Amino acid sequence: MKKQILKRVFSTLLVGTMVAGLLTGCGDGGDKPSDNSTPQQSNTGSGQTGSGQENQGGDEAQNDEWIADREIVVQIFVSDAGNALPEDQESTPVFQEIKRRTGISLKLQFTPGQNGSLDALTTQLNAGLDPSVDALICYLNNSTRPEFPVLLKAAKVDEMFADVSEYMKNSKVYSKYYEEGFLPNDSYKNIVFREDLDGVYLLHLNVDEVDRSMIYDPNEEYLGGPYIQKKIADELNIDPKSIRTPEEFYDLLVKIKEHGFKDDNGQDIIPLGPKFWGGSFDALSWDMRGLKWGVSDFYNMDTDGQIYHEAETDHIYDLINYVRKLLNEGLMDKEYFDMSEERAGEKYWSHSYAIMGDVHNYVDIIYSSEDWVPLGPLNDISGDNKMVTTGKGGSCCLAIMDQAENPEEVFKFFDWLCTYEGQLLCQYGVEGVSYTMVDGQPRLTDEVKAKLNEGDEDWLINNVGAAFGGSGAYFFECVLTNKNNIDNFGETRPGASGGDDSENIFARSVRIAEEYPREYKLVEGLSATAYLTGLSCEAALKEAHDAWKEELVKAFYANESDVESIINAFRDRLKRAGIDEFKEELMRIYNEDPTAINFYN
Amino acid sequence: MSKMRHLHTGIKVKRSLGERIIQVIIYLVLIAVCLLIVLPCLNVVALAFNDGKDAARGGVYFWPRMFTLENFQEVFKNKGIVRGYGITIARTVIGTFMSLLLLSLAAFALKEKQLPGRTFINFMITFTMLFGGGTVPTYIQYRRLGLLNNFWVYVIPGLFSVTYLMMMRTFFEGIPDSLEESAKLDGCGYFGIYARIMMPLSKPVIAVVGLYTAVGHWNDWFSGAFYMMDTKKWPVQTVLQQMLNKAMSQQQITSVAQAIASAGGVTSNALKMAAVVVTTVPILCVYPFIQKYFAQGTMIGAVKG
Amino acid sequence: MKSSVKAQKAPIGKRLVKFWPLYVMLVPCIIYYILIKYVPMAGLLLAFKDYSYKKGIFGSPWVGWRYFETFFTSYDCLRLIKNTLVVGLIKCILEFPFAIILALMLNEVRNMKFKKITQTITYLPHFLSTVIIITMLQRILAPGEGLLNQIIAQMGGSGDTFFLMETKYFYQILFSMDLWRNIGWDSIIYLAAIAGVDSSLYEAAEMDGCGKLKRMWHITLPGIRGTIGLLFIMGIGGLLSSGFEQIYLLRTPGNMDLADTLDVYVVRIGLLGGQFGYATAIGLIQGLVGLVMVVTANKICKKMTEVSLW
Repeated sequence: MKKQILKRVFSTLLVGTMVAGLLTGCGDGGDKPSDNSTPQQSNTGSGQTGSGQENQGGDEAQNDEWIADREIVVQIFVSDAGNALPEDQESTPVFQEIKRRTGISLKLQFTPGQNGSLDALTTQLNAGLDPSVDALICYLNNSTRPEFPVLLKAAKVDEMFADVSEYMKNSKVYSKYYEEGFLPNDSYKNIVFREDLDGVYLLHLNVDEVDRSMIYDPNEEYLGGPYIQKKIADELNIDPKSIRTPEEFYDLLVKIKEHGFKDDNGQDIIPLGPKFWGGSFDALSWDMRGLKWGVSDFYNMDTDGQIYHEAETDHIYDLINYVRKLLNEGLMDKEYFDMSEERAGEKYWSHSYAIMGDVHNYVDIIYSSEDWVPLGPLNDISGDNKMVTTGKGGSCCLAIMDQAENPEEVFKFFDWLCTYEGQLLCQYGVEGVSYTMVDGQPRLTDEVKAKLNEGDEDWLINNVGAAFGGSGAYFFECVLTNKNNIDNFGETRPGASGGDDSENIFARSVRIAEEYPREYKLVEGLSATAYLTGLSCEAALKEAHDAWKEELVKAFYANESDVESIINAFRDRLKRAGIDEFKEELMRIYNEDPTAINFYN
Repeated sequence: MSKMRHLHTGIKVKRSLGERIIQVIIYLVLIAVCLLIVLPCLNVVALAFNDGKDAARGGVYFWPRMFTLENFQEVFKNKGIVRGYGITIARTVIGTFMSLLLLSLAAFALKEKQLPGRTFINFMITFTMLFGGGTVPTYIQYRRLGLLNNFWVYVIPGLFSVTYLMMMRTFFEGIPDSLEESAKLDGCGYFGIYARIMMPLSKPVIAVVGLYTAVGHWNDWFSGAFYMMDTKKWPVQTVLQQMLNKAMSQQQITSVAQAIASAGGVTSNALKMAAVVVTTVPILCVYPFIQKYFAQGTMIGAVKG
Repeated sequence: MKSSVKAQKAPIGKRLVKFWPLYVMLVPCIIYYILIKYVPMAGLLLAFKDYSYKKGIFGSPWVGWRYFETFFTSYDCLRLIKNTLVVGLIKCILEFPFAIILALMLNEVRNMKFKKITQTITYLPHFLSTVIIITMLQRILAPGEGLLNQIIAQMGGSGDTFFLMETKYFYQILFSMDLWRNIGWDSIIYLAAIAGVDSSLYEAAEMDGCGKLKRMWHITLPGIRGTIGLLFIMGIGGLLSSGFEQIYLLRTPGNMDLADTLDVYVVRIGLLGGQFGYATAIGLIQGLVGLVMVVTANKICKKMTEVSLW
């Protein structure tokens, strides 16, 4: 018995010391940053001859693609890219080809976090990234994105990133960023070449070489907005394209209601339903487009030349009364704003609504049958039904870490990825493996094309590792910039051209785009709220802005008598939050440069 | 003892009408509760085994209408799932075992009312339940301890829990002191009492804390998603979480190519349901083994004798 | 009894020597709490600082009570606190007895098979994610076609109530949903506690001719009062931190007057916006209130049940 007890004592002590040892032991290791790995540092030049293990790439290593024999670790905060990583990165043809040509062993890491990577980014930038990380990429459409203040603080206050301006000047691709008119205004002024930064720390990615945002190409368009059951439009003898104004839309809903259509289960149809993906406030900007006055994040300039939040003007009552009318008369589903995705899907598959609040042509319910056709698009407040585009844009952001060993090599690598050779590799993979050159242009092999049409992402990612326009390893799509596939490769994206597409499952998507063409109009500038940063009213006003959608929906459902008090209370709240200061600032900016804010009337 | 058994059964026969009514009421209430709970759960199972596109039309309630295993095939197509299972099982077994050992030792020590510093330690432990440093300082500390990107990040941060520690302590306190005293007289030290008296008598609380800890490990996807950069070391829940996020991101598609990539396959809802079944069934199977420890009363008398 | 009285009076030095094995047992626990819990707790300072990574937690400049002022003067502050308290009360106090009742009832079931099946079923919902539960809830409560409305319509009502959009149903929905999800899971601990009650007591009571209810009242409940007291104190500590996901998903413009709680607020304003200082300040307020509650509850419990956390 005593032996047993002794055993217990020992085992307990053992575990105790083990744990303690583990903790303290690791603590020491973790405290030291990457300094201790300096001896292994390889200098750029000697990498060519010095690396003996680079046997098969020996002679090619002499070309100017060679960067260094080293590892580059990239931390990804883009979930689309992080979720499309190869199982064994180093064994995919693309990674191997990168290694062969540039000497770089690329290693991609991903921490998804909870809310689309934003919280992971925020946490790690505030707590410090793992010492091994050389660069990071994250979402960043423009400087109004929530990621931006986090990145800016890391660049400006915490000095976490390396200044790449010196390397950029004589780089192969990124030198273009200095050219006037290459970068969109916002990217240039607010992200890459900020006045309050002493160098370049944040590289905005995916800026196209040529601006094609105003060109309508049916092969590449996805058409959002309301769709109507073809059967119902035919039966009522209505041309869906002809519905333009809120009044016409209302009359259509009434007609549908009066006709008494039934769905697949024999139940009465409700004329207007939520988004295909479930209830949402956003569908309003399609379905009540002509009444959405606050086009710039709820702000706009009124006819009197003054800037207002939409709640401050009586325009808002047009919208409220319209929605209330639809709700009260049973013309739109009560759960328009918060039905779950599953139930909305169920209802649409059973044809329970005549009109789908919002969907697009690349969703299976649209392309798999002839049942639904686009409605409108409806007019916006300016009275035309053109789609608004903000012109050339960018997405995703690259930052090279200050802690990276020899940041110049890291930069050179990302620069190389954006060259013609790099883009070819990133988008099409390796010659002979996934594409062949036909008349000087890359064309995907039949095998890859078949996998692409089947939607076999796993195969594309693991067996090739290239992006294939986003269907494969998305990382290689989002690190690129200066893209111009039409001029470089003769097609808009890998696999887009050549071959008969009639059996392609998306044939109908393209046909819809051909049959229901749309026009674009350019409205430059950022949303008004982009200019809130730094003002003393920022916090309170931001909270109020966040609450507005909900207050508005509350007004849709409230008793008639309460509507006004809800709106008045909110007007009050805006005043107290300091909206006047903000509006003054907006006015100043607008007067300086009217294209800075995307107002239109 | 045997006499008592007879008495016991004797009473059972002579159960009064009131007793029997209570018994019936209890059964009825429990059946009602079970139905309320099991029917929605059945719906999840039915959806998991039903063709997703068919289910999207509605009307699938408690039994699949178009039976298929496709959803499960889709789940297991991902190589990460099988590997994730391995990691989840490893962390659950290691984590639960270590937690139980360390928790019970600490609880046993803290049960001793005369231990100098006991109040202080108890208070300080409770304090951590109410205050925490937040994500950033925690992240910094984990990095300092070398836990980032390390398997032990699944085990070490969850080793102790205030609630479980207190549960165990309370249970230990309920065991009569007299047993301990007599063991001491027999020459047992504290480790002996811990191993020979406390542990055998505390099976119910060990079982329940073990179950809670194991399920906590099993369901945790957070530490994978936050502290593990190497996607190959993710537990199954993190892998599934990402798989579902990916399936659901269909509505945020921004390019035609992405639309092409995400087309086909099973629906995200069906996948979600299959994932629930896949992750719940294994841990459910553990329950019956633990259940027996809750059913039997302790045999304090037997130990005494 | 005598020995324990003696030990109480023994000087600390003697007791330290006597109890050394117990300290050995506590070593891992103490190391754990210092390294994993107390070191990061330096982060509480962020509530008074303008944090920057470069300067670190200690080096970042002080901002005094700024975050607290911002919070207490913010538009929503009073409503947030009130809502949080009500939700906390529902989840910590109102729901509290149900798991105990379920455990007591299960304990009375003699048919082992029935008992096992019942137990397994009641703890199933613990494994369903909140998102799935909310989807099912929406289905049941949908206006018009939802199960509940259909029943109301059958009984002659309008059957067109939009439960989730109306303020007055929010608490009922929250309560039922939370109870549904947790009752089985929470009852396990009570089952374990009941299993720990000395079975000879029951036999003695039965010999005295005690009925079921009497035995429950006089033996089972007192036998598990330690566990009950303990979980009650623990629960009350969380009064102001009632969780995020569930409420957030239940929140609609119709009920948000009640559904905006501190936890939801912190996630919305603090974490996503990267305002750690602000989030920490609110966490600190929650913690302080929790501490007061726990200390009070502990005192009361100590008097009533002799259970005490410390």
